[in-house]
Amino acid sequence: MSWSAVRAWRELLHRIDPSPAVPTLSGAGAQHALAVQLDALTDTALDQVAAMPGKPWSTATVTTARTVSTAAIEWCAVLLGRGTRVVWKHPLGAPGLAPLLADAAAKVRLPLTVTADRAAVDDAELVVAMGSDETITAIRDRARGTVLGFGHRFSVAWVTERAGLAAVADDAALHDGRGCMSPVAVFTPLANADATLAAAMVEAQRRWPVGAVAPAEAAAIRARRALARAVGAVHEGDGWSVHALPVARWSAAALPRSIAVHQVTDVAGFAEAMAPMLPWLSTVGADAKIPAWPAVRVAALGRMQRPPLVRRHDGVDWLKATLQPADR
Amino acid sequence: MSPWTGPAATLADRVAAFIAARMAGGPTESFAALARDVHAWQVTTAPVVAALVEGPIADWRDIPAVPVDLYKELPVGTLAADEPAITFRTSGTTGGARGIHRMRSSALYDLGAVAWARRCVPGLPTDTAALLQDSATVPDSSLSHMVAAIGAGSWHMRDGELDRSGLDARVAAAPGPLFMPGTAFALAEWLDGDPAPLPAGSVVMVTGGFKGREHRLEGAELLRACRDQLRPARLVTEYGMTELSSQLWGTPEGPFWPAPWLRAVAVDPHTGTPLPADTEGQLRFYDLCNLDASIGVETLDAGRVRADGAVSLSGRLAGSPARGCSLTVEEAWARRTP
Repeated sequence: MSWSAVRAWRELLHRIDPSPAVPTLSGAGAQHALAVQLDALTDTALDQVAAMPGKPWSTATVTTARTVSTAAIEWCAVLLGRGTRVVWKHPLGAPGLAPLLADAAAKVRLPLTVTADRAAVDDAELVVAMGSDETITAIRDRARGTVLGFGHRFSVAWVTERAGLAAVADDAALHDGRGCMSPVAVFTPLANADATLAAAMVEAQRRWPVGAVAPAEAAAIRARRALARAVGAVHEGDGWSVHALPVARWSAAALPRSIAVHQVTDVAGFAEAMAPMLPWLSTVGADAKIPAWPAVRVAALGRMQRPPLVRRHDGVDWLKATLQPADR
Repeated sequence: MSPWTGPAATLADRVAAFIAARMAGGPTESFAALARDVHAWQVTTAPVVAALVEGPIADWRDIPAVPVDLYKELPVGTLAADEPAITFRTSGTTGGARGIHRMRSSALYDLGAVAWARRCVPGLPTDTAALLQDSATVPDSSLSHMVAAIGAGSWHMRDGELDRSGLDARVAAAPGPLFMPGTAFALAEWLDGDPAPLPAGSVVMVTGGFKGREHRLEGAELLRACRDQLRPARLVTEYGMTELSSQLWGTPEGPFWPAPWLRAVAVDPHTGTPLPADTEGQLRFYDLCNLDASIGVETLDAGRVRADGAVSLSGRLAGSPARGCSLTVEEAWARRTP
């Protein structure tokens, strides 16, 4: 067990500057994203995990997607704390925070190494795979150990009080809206919620300026803008946009600092819009009661991308799933 | 009888005259004037086009270009929903919604497609053996429609599968040169079977990509294998889109040349602002033959447009949003439905 080393690692990470390693986010955005991730590693939460019974794996590989480079931190913390040797397999040409985190881990003698080599999944006893469905299928094909796969998901907000919209803008600013727990759309019975959200987006942009937007992302935002000009309304400013659209035009596309607002009559209208998408729904940020959907996390507005360490992840008891099965 | 009436009929005649004059080398009215007039009519009859107008149109490049994604979302164009139309649809290979391009008549489409194909490939054989689905079977395929307009012949794709034996027999029995259009994937599939060389004077046309499928032969390797195995007199490339009515033709080593009634602009994908010549950007097209849809079409492709109008294609725009995070409702239903 290495829980004290994990705490020391966390303290080291609080002091690093992540911005050079995360070129897709602004400096303020990168620091915010890292700080939020580390906030989940509270002493209380780590103690809870440490107290869980079970036999840890000897080796694990954690593979991450390009979108949210801090996503692996909590997985590494839990596995390293239990004494597992961890390899962080990052996308080729996009190491993100991985090298910085490995350097910090080495300073406190935690066995964390990084690589872009796909072979890292071959012989690990446990592979935690995050990425596209295609990536996870490919990893399952070549890994000989246990694979926990988490494909891309999307998240939305259900807002019934106008005051909640500022918190949605904060949720959308974190990771510039690219995370699976970022709200891609707001569903609301409120009239003119788009204008209120737009004002909040200005403030979020002031605090955490948007980072780099890829050409295809920019083109997709302009396409949605064109759609909104035709059948909705457009609000936009430096680095952000809000598009009011009919609910029939809702899509789960995650675009940086760009949120669609769909007005519905009531929560039943929201549920109807979600129905075909539930298998891919990660988190609903809500300020009122919503239907109970299995495997869907419900969070307070402003906490969508701040999940506690002790939780189910995409419906999976991940803290248990990262231990060896009891019958081994 | 022209299916167009009133101002549209006049515009159709002007576009047809433009095509004919440019092919004959005679004087024409300016592209800019005709483009502005077509757009002005579309603004009065196509609500989606009208919604995208944000300022005065001083230059044809100011004409708003409809993003291709809108062709999936909304009825783009001048036709009412209940009007009879020739309808082309995108392939929808990802299981998502299909883009729809409706037109009252394919007269301008056919006139331009045939004229430009024959100008770009002099001596193009009239006997066609297509690595495509029969246009009669898939009347909503703009590619099959274009090939049918260029020349009659045989079709050798059925339900997405290559009719290898039929194609081999067709080549063996051909009395003269063949025109062999096909997608890159279909061509790669055929080459896997080690086909015999083509009759002397044959022309192979490669278009499109692999639509998410994988094959050992791609890009330059595919074209090299095509030359080595099939030994065509000419290997040409074609770039077209369901949302366009006109095409670009080229060679594997060179750029694509748009028809004179089709112009390309590379724009900054972040702002939509036109970029200087030879600067990589997001490709936009202005197509006079798109009379019933939108004269301006914005693609998701990246490339450069030279000062002389030629287009170098780089591929899809970089940094597409993650697929699993980009499901549309239609895609989700498609995935859930066996």
